[in-house]
Amino acid sequence: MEKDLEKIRAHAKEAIRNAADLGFLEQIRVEYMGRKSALTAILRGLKDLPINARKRIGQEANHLAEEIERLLSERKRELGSVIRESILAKERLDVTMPGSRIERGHQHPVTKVLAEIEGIFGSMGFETVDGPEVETDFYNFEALNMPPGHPARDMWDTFWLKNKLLLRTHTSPVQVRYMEKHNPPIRIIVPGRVYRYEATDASHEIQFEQLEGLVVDTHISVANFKAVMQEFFSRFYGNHIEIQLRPSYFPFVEPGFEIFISCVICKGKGCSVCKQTGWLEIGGAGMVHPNVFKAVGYNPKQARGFAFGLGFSRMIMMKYKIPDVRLFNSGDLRFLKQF
Amino acid sequence: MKFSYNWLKELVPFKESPKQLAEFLTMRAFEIESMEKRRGDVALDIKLPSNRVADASGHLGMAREIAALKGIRITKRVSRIKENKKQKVSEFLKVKIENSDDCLRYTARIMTDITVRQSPKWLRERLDICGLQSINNIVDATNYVMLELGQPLHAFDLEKLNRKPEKIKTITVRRPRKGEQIETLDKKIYELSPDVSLITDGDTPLAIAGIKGGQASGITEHTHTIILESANFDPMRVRAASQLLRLKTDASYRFEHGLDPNETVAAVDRLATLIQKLSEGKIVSGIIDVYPKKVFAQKIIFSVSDANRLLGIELDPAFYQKALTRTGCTVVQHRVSNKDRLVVVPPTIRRDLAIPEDLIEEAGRILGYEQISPQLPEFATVPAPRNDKRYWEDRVRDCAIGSGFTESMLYAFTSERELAQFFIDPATAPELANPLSPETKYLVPRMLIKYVSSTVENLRNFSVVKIFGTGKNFTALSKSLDEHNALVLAYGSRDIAGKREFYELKGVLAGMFEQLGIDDYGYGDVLTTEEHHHAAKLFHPYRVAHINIGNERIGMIGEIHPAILDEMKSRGRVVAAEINFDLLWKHAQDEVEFRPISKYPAVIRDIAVVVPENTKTEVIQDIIERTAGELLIDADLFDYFQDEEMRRGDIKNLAFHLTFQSPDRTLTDTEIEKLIGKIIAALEMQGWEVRK
Repeated sequence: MEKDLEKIRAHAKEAIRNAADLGFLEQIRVEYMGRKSALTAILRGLKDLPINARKRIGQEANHLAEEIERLLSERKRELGSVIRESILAKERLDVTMPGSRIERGHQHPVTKVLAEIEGIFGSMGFETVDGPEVETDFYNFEALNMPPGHPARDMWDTFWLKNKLLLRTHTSPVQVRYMEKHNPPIRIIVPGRVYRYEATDASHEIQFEQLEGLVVDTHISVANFKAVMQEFFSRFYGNHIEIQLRPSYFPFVEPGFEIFISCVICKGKGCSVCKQTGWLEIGGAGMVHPNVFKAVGYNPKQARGFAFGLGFSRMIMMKYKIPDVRLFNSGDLRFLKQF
Repeated sequence: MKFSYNWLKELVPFKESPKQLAEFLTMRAFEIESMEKRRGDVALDIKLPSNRVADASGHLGMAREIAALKGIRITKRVSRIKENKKQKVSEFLKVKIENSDDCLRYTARIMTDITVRQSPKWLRERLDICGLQSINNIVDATNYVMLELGQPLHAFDLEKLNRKPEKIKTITVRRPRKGEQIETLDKKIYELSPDVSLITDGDTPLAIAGIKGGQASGITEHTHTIILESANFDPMRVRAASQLLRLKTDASYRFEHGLDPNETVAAVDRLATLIQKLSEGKIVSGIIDVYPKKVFAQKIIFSVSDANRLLGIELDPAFYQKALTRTGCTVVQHRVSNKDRLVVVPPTIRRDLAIPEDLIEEAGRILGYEQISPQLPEFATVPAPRNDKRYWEDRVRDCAIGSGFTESMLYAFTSERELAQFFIDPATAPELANPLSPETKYLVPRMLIKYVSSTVENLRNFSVVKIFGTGKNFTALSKSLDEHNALVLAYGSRDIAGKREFYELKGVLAGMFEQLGIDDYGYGDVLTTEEHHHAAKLFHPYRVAHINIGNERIGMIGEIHPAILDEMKSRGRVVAAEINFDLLWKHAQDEVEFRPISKYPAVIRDIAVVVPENTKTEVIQDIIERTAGELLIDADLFDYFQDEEMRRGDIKNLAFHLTFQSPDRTLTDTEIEKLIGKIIAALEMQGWEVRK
């Protein structure tokens, strides 16, 4: 009987090893482990054996059954992975083919840079404020210390409407509108579209973007203004920026400045962008004129503040090396899709 | 404004080269726009701010500025006027000012025996470097002294004045009479209005006050006796007249900025002395000077501590005292005990120095702003409040970009032609008083048309164009103007049918509304009877809808009328949505509430229905939803089909996914079948064929 078991073991091993596919393997399982198999017959015949032999043979037969079962499942796994492999091989991809893109639109460079700017000023506690683009003479000029007939009005070439309204020439009217409704302390930025009545060329546009800022409190100084500008530009350009203030005149500030930053290209050494000066003109600013505080109903003796207007379109042109300001409003997708 | 480097150097002993001087002035005073070498001299083009024209438009004023900034003194000049005592000015001329507000001061001298000839070389060169043409010695002298002192001057030929009706010739400064005209020195005729002031001989206009001399009284080679005018005119009137007549001169430029009337006598004396030298004329003794309201210097109380606080630096009173003295102010301590307070009296020529802040700027410039170290302000550490409109604008932008649309910014202007093209009544568009070109004649009442035009433009380079943007819609109202934010999405495609684009755009809007937390939106027909009908004219009449949120109309979606696109020679169809953004974002909300996920499975059944072509999906959906009741949680159109035969029969096949689910139990097949049966029956009631 033991000999029979050995024979079954040898045959089964051989058959399992040679099984070429899963169907054949199943046949083998039925042949060696099925109800009609020799092994099953042996197990069934155990009860007729003497007690000694019954125990010994029984143990061996059970071991054999376990072994065959193990061999079968091993072979099954082997065959399975071979099959999977052949399927996978057929699914091979050419990984050098270009990816298929989900089409996304593009953000306008103006709003893209503006988001950055708003982020920086926002982190310094500046609220972003809007205002109308069609303005009255009062907000665009008069409240900004430029009564009718003031010669400084010539600094802003103005588009007038037939009903005496005008297209704002700067974002400064929003300062006035905001101060009329809020009391100090104030920290705002006002990004927005402004209009100028002038002939257009690569660096002049009738419609462009400006960024206004206003801080009002009881003790605000020129030193504070320099620091806020330095902080902003250093973060915006990602490295240390120096601020230079040159005297200038805007009726709504006193003293008034022209803001220069150390050249972001050459770091102040002198290059073609800064015309070898090491400095770039970036906007106008100053300490808010007491007459503006009066116009909005503040006590000019108690309020102090600074205001600035940055040539925002120019900053974007410098950032992306855009040669012509007119591209911003061109609507040309060949331009817009680059951002 | 052009300044001669050599001339400045004559007036103030600085050591800087032209380039160094330019740099110095740029950092401390005025921007130098350009420099040009000429015949041993350099012309500096200095950008003079409008508040400094009064004191610095002449070389002497500029020299004073340089001296103040550098802390040096200007070169002293001694000049004594030599008058001909035999003749008195009162025997020659009288001056009358009709409106003392128009002419603040009129100063004049008379010279006899003058010889009109060419100016000497030095004088011609000085004028040339400052950009002025040489005429003759008399006119050149008036210009030279203007360039030196900043006071415009004029010379008249006394002989040409009419004596009548007075015994003595009289200059009258008056406003023009109705229909009056003047021929100026350059032989142009100007019609005069009441905004202009005239210099007349009582009758005939001799000059446009403060702007230009007249031909009739001009200096010629025969001139023998001259009147030298050194006057001060109302800046507002000069400015208004100059704008009205479109006549800007060196004189009008100076006068309109407001000059110091206290300068006229020194200027006329300087002029007479110079003409004496240039033409051997005699200066009649005496001066005519009509100066009704004298301008006096005003004192300003200046606080050192306030100044330090504004500048953000600690400077002692002595610094301010010294700096302000250098600018020509007289400075004294307010009280001996109070070192903080100074009484400052600026010279009247410094019309820009009126309040303490003006003086702080002078001190700051003399100090140099580079001396002030940056110092961050002490802000309260409160975060900036959110700007809701901009917040939602950002969300919409993200959504549109995510849906394949590219952001575009376009001009706010439009032309008559563009408006007509889109059937927009020009009366609704705000009209500009001073357009630059026909393209900037109006502000655009619907940004939509700019985006459509841009889409058509881009379709020349791209087969599919998806753009969007927020811009302003400007509408003319009877006395004012409405300005609101518009959101426009435009989708152009060379695809012939244009159907897919319409539904895709609707899909983009659906995604956007979801982002904004808006779910009660819908679309409605544009009826020909309603007032909005004309706004829909630019759309395809059968492919347009209102966009509503709740009961509020917030915009329109539609295909642009093919006739319009044909006229624009568009290479494809354009579908666009136009939304009033100010209305839209007010409906937006951030809050999302979690709904429990049902533990019981959802059952999906499909149903297809064949309906007449003009049947609305919404109507079918409505019937399905109403019939099925609460267990139907979604009825979703997933297929639209129409073959040739159906097209001929004017019918279409619509297929829906119906999703059934209960929050508290598993639905049985019989239950579902019963519901489907009810739905089919309801649809068939309409006379429609249902396919399962």
